Amino acid sequence: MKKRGWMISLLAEMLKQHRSRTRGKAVFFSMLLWPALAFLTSYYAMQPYRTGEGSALSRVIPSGGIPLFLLSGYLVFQLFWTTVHSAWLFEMERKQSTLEIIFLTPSSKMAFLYGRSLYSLFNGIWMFAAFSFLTFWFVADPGEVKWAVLLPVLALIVGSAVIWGAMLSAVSLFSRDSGLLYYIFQAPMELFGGVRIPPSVFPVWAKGLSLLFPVTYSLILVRGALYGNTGGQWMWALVVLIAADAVLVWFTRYLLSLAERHARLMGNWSLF
Amino acid sequence: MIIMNEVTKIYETKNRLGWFRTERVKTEAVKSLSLTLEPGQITGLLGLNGAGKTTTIRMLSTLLDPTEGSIEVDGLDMNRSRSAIQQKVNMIAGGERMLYWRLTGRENLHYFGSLYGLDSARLRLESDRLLSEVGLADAADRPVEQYSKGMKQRLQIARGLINDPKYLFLDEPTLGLDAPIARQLRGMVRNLAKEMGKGILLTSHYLQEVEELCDNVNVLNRGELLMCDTPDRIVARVAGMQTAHFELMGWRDELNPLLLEYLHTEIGLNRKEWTELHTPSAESGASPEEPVRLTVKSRSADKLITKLLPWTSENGLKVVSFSAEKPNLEDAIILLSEGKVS
Repeated sequence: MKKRGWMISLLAEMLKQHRSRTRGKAVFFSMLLWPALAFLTSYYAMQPYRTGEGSALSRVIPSGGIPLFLLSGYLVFQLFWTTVHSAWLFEMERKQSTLEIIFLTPSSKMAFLYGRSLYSLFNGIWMFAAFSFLTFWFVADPGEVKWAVLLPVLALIVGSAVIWGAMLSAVSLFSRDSGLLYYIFQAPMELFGGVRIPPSVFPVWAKGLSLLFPVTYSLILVRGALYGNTGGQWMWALVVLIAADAVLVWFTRYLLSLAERHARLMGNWSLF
Repeated sequence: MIIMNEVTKIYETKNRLGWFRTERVKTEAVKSLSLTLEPGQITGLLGLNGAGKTTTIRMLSTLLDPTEGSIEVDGLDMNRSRSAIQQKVNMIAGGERMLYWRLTGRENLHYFGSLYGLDSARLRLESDRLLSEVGLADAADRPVEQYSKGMKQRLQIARGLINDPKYLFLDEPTLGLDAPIARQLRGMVRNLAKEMGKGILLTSHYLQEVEELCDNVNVLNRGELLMCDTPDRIVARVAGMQTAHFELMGWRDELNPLLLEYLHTEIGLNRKEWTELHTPSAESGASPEEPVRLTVKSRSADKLITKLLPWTSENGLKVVSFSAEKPNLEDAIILLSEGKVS
């Protein structure tokens, strides 16, 4: 019964998000436009640099592999970014005082957080499919791709992105300024996560920062599967990502209970 | 029944003293408040701004924890059985928020109903019924952003009833509404209590509304309960008796003791100071044909007038005019908040 209630709340949240967000078609289609533009900008920004044999880039990106490197980078980044977007929109719940009404009900608040995050992912999934098509049919060498590894890895990354987004939404429960997350995470996640430049070329401090983002591990896994390279580093990334997911689920629940306790003490669900 | 027992709520806030420095300030919003709410009854919660009304409603609706004291809903303790209590209560606040404006009225009800675990068949049934009850059946599939203020408020009522709560907390439900819509909502609230047996706690700045609807009224001032009684008794206790005014022709001095005797035996008034008789003064040169003014204070001016009119005709008096002067709940609340009544 409890499980059924959890599913009802999760689906209700996803449906609400869908109905709230898809009234404007311009916003919907811009979700395809801006990652495509970001990809093209990065691609042409790298064109003046030498990428051939003996170049600095050739040590980290296989020869002629820049499009695949960037496309896979943006593909994974976009998955995580859509869920950050969901956390960014969280402040609307507070502005409308609907957050208070949600917490007035006996529904699972974890289902509420995961529903938001999951819908954000679905919202961007058609774009994800388009990027995948481009990547795997036009850019990658299908013979080299480890398909049996790539597909489960993609499923794991989808799950990780949902978990990441739910955690960020839980952080938003504490603050009326959740828009801050958008600015904190966009550029650092793109840069340090290794979307455009592999973390292996970073200085030590930047490598340390890259370890904080699940995007980093996800990209190691996807690129490993695409290039047919699933060695020790790949296994390490797999273990860390799974462990990080488990920790983030626990941390989300902890943040949620902390936020609920704090709000019941201070009465600040509706403050804006 | 809801029992709120000796509940105190202290907010701890931070005051900024500078860029880095803050100080903690404690504010006691509710002080040792006890009240009860029974199914089928409408209980009012009155007081000026900052009296603690909204804090009280938020504590009862599980959104706030009391700092001290306990709250029980049908024998369930708020701390131990929060989810079970949330199934039994709901809250409706005035204003246009607490709804998703981009969703239609029906979609809003479906969403909030889902949060109470209602399955899709029951959601359809309940939302259709509620939308029809609040007069929004025709606008059910329009986005809420196209609704008028009154329509949004009616949708709020439907939203508050989606879980069929046994207890409903209404915080300024008619705030800013036009008179006809406010009257319609009052009728709906009365019906919810009297026909459907829901226990309703109502706060409103419109005291006439409270006087009209509430069986009992709790008067708060600075978080403390000053008084709890029926609206009529509060008015009588705080703002004094009602006053009946008569203008009579043909008054004779011998009627004075007869009037006092009649008031004592028939109406139960036995204090002379409750009756004032103003006869035209001979020194002032007033005509004896001028009417005598009689003023009598009692618990019910209407009853007194009804009983006194036959007495005047039996004694050959001609009634030129009569009127009733009644203090209302607003007079009582203002007196209480000004501390003019102990």
